[in-house]
Amino acid sequence: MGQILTRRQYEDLLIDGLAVAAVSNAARQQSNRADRSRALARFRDLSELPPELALAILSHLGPTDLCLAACVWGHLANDELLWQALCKNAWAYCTAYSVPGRSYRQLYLRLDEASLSFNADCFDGFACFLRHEILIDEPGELALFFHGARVLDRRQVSRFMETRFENQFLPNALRKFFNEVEAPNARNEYLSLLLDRFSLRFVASNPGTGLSK
Amino acid sequence: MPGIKLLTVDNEIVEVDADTAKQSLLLRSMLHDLGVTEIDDDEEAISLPHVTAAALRKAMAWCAHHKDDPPPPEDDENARDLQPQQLSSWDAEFLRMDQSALFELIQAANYLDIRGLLDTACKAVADAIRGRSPEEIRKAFNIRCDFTPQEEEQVRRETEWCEEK
Repeated sequence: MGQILTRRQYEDLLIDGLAVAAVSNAARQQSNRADRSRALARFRDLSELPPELALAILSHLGPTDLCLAACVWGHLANDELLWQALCKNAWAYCTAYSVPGRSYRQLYLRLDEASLSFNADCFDGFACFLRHEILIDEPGELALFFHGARVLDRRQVSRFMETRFENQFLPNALRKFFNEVEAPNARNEYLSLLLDRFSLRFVASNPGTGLSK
Repeated sequence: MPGIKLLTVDNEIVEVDADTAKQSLLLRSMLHDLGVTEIDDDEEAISLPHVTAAALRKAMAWCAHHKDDPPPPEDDENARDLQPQQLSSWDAEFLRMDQSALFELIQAANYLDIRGLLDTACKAVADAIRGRSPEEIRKAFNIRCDFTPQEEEQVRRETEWCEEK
């Protein structure tokens, strides 16, 4: 059976209850206000920013720093868009880009590994590109890839091209071109300008090759 | 110089110079739409739901300093440099503040649509990350590590390649 309260006890309880409600109401209002300004104002960490802003920050990092940042903000720093931009920045084209569902982060690591190997020895590196399915061995694909790869050692690239396309038309023309015009030693804008001019001219004078610049 | 009144999220009314404010594309179009030309004491302040007074003042100071800058070039992913661009010494000094204030400023620049400031402030945060180990980043950003030691070890193994370069 429930306990029956005297009128006095009942009144006491009621007053207590009202007081508690009033106090907690005031506290709630105060903490609401504090919460609101805190939530809107204080970002302590990158992950509390809207993701597009966090990504805008991380997009200023290079691959090494992005990898290290991935230990802190795994989800953000592994974002595919960031790695896609890094990939395309260093290797403007490769066959694997058109394979759907490819992880660009993983692709970056493989491109990087294969490129290091290529710069040490072009044939080892090339085997590595094929093994990782970064490239397929077709002249058009190779031309696009080597044209857009900023991180490959040009001496290894020409060593590769010489051996690979020894008796073919384009490399012979290119070699002849560089016999006439002294090739610069460093990879610089002058070299890419020369190559651009050459490829335009080559395509213009050989309309039957099916190549485009 | 005419001024306008802005009501910030922390309930402060901040008066700013209208010309400076127009570097914010949001404020520029608001002022245009409202036809506001000069300050009027009866005029209600424009309410800015995502901007604190501190960040607004900071953003306006940046705009005042950069008022003669050429407009930033269009974004072109392909043209992005491999080398990070250094902040000017004025910007670096101006953005010397704690990370949460910097994040507030980024949020404000984004909401107000001030591209130059957004870009500059993002670079400043990236500079604070660059060249640091995960432990150092956590320390700089005051982050508790939420990886278990096993997860940490796995991430370390996955990213080994990048530490030796």
